[in-house]
Amino acid sequence: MSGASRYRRLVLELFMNAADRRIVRSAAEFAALFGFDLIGVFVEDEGLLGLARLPFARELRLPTHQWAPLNTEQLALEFQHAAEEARRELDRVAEAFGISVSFEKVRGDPISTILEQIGPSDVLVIAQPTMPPRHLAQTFTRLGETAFRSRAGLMFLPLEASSQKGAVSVLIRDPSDPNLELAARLALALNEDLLVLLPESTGQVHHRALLERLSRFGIGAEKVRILMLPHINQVDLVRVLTENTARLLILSREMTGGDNLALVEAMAAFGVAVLVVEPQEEKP
Amino acid sequence: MAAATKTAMESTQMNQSITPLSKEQLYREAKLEGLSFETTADLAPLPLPDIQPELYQSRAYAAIQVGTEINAGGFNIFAVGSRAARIRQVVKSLLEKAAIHRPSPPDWVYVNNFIEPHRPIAIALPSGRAPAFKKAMQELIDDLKVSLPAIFESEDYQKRRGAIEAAVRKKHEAAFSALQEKAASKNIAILRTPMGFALAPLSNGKVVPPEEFQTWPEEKQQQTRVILEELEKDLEETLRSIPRLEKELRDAVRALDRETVQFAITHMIADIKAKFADIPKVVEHVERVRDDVLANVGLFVSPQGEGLEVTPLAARVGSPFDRYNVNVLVTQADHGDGAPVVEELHPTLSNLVGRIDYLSFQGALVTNFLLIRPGALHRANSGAILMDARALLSEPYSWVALKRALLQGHIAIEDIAKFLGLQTTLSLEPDPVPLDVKVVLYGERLLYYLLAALDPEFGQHFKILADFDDEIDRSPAAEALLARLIASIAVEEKLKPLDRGAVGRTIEYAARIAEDQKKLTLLVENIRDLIREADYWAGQEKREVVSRADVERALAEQIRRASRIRERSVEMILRDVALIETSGARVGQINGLSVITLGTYSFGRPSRITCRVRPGAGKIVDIEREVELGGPLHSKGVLILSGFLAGRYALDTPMSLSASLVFEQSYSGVEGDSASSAELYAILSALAEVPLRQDLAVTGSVNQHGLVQAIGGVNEKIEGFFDICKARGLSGTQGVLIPEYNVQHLMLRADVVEACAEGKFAIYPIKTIDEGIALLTGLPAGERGADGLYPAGSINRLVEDKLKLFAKVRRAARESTELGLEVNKSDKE
Repeated sequence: MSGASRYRRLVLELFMNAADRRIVRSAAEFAALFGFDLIGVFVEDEGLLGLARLPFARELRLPTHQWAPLNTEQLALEFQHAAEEARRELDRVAEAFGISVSFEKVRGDPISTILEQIGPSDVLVIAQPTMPPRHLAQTFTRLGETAFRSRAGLMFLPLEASSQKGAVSVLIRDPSDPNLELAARLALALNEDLLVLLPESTGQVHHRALLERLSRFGIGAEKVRILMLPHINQVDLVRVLTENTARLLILSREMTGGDNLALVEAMAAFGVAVLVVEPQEEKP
Repeated sequence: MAAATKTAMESTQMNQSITPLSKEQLYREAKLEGLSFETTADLAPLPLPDIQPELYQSRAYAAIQVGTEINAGGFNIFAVGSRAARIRQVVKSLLEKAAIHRPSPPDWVYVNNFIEPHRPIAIALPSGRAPAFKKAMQELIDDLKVSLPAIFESEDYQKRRGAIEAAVRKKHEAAFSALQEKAASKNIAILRTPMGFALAPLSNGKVVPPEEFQTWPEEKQQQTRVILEELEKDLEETLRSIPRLEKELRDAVRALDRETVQFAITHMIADIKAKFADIPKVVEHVERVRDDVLANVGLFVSPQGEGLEVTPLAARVGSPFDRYNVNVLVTQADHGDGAPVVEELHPTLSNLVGRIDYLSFQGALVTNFLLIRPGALHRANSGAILMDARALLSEPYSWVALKRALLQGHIAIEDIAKFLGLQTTLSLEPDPVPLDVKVVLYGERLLYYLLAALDPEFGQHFKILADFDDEIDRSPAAEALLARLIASIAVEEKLKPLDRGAVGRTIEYAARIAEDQKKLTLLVENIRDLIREADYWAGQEKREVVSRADVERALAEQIRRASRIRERSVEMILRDVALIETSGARVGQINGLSVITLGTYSFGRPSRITCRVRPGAGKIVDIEREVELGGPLHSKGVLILSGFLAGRYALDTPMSLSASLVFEQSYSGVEGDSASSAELYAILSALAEVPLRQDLAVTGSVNQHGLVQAIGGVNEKIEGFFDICKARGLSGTQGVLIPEYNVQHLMLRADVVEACAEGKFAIYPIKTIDEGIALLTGLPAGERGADGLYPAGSINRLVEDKLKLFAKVRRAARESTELGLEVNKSDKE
């Protein structure tokens, strides 16, 4: 099996994200586009449960901004309600997008627990909450940082999609990059153009060879645009992607010029979803 | 005495001088003199419905001319006349002629009121310019829909917006980071709870389990609590700052949007203002649109108007951009020059003054200014509106609304449901539109008189009466005019041409409808129907030209279709179920004639009238009246008879007659006085005990002096009796006595005229009762001689003698009664 087809599941943490329906719907939309299952994982923060056992523990409840004592029973009940609501939301998007979903509730540290759930065929969804108070806990930031340091497949959802349609783009180091196949298959499935981005440092690329390789995946030359980038940086990438109305960028961590999470987040901020996947050659 | 009194023989000779009418007197043929044509195809058509009203409806024409030219309040026109006279078409034609010379009225539009959306603003524009205004506004919005998103998607805008958002986000993050750092520096974590946030002490980067916390020294625990309390305040403060920062972001973005849009739309707005610089209200509105666009930029860059700052329910009907649209209420763009002439055939309240439509939206009825619909008054404004008075009065509230609009001088759209309290939905109160319209109503005369009598405001609003004649004087010119009208109808209806005979017969029919040899009807619809049907029968006969025979056939078929009741009536008489004699003679019995009207068809029918007399108190008992089957006119006719008898006979004795009169076998109401002469003949016959001829029938009213007066329906009455006689076989003595004044009205059926010409039937013109009674009895009426007496053997003598006898009998009876009373009195004493 090639690296292009090893991903099967899109994993979305629900305790942090379910309240923001935009994130759940966006994740479901991509799951449907990719033909993935959507896995919702609701993590009950054990640290919070421990805190609730302290006599002085209390929480600032929103939106009333009133302080209230935090107790274990109440917290357990609210986790349960939140989980049920998250599950219902998952079911709603499953019906809306016709995708297969599953729901799992676990307890532990929100970040390490979710990362433990990620297997080799999984892509973890990273989404920046749009509601400002959620920034405060900075869980998503820590999750993004931690996950990016791992080798897990990641899907960075844009804050706001720039377009509902658009080309699938892929940043590859050379025509042999396994991510090219993944991008080609997605473009084919979505009936979209494929935008192939290569750093100029790659040297001269034989377009014909590249196109021949793509044709083997079933995508014709008329659907392919090949661009050489002098530099891989935020400005150039944003310009190229917006000019070519790309809605998805596929790249590996290596192509960010090292572990450059900021570049990925910048793409997402400009409305382009970013799929970070590590090429994995087929095992003999 | 013999010298003083004329002999009965002499009188008889006088009466016998009453000769039946000649064929020419029974029917006036159309000569069509001076009109040379073979068929109507040779005639120049007369444009319909114009039948030169200035010549033949001069009174109505002058009235309409005055009404249309006087531009003052209340000088509206009420045209009265028969519906079949096509007064609607004639009036419309006259109004249209007058309207050509009047200036074209302004267009009217409704636009959104951005301050009070429930009160749409009405704007007048010079004639024909409303569509251009609407188009300009639509183009503006279409341009903005394209250009604004493009501007907002542009790199420049995105950069500036990104910078603003980044700045605000930075403030957020700075605030959060500061708190995070402060918390982290004190080994405290900020945790997200299902409902909000909590602060937790950390140990080795993890939340301290309770068991471990309990092991901490009391002082450390206390210190941690103090730190937590301090951070809680910071957390609280940080979260409270979020709405402020968000508002700051919104304001900054809004300002940017406004600045961006203002630049983009300035030239577009300027273009529109330049186009309509001569209309201040339009310029004002365009400026208001600009302000609203600036305040609601999101409308153009977010789907479905998410950016609309204030979205009233009504604004959600249709497109969110509708608020900038223009509702062209009325425009003259598609009309020619001149003022409009609008005919409203269905003048409901909403059709008259306009209406506000509603749409169902989420279970509620909502509306906006685009759903304001014009009424006929809007369309006719500055011109004329033509309506059927009956239709107007039949519609609830329409008449009242029309008067109110005329009184107030503006059109206010009134909702009938709101009037009645049936609807409480929030509705619109559009600006009223100033009204300057000439209202022309048409209808029957009765409606006019009723309104004039019953509605005190009527005279204030309708000062011009246009009274249309139903007929014109018959002259060669009038016949020629009618011939051209017939030709026009044939062309208009795509009928076969009519030959000279057919045209002549149609003109004769027009005289028959007018019931006058010297008049022609103007009831064009009746003529049109006849020609259409004649054309059909010509087609049946495979003729290319409609002939006189086809017109005759059409007339016969019209009668046949409607004459089921008439035939039943004739059959009843022929089978002696209804007793009518057409031969012999009877005392106190006579054939009267009446007309029965069923729908549009009328026919004559003989009725037996009988009379019985005896001494009495001078009263004629009208049995019809006693049983309330007699109408007031009939009763009046009978009472006149008392006056005649009292004035003519037994002048020196009190009237001692008791007579009873009845229409035999009459089971429904009797109205009119046309039988009063027949009733008088019956009384005279009963008194004189002289039989009346039953082969004659009589019609005509009588006055107190014995003069026979004209009646209506003379043709139908004659034909009704003729049909009975003909069915039984014409004896040659049969006929009808008609008032001499009705001779000019005779337009009899061809078979009647033919029978008269052959001497098989006769029509006698009667001037006086004396002439009639002589003819009916064969005895002279007699004239009072110098001796004060009527000739011996005359009817009058016999009647007077009988009345004197009745007086004597009555006196004797009274004396006997009085004597009896005296005897009784004496006995008692």
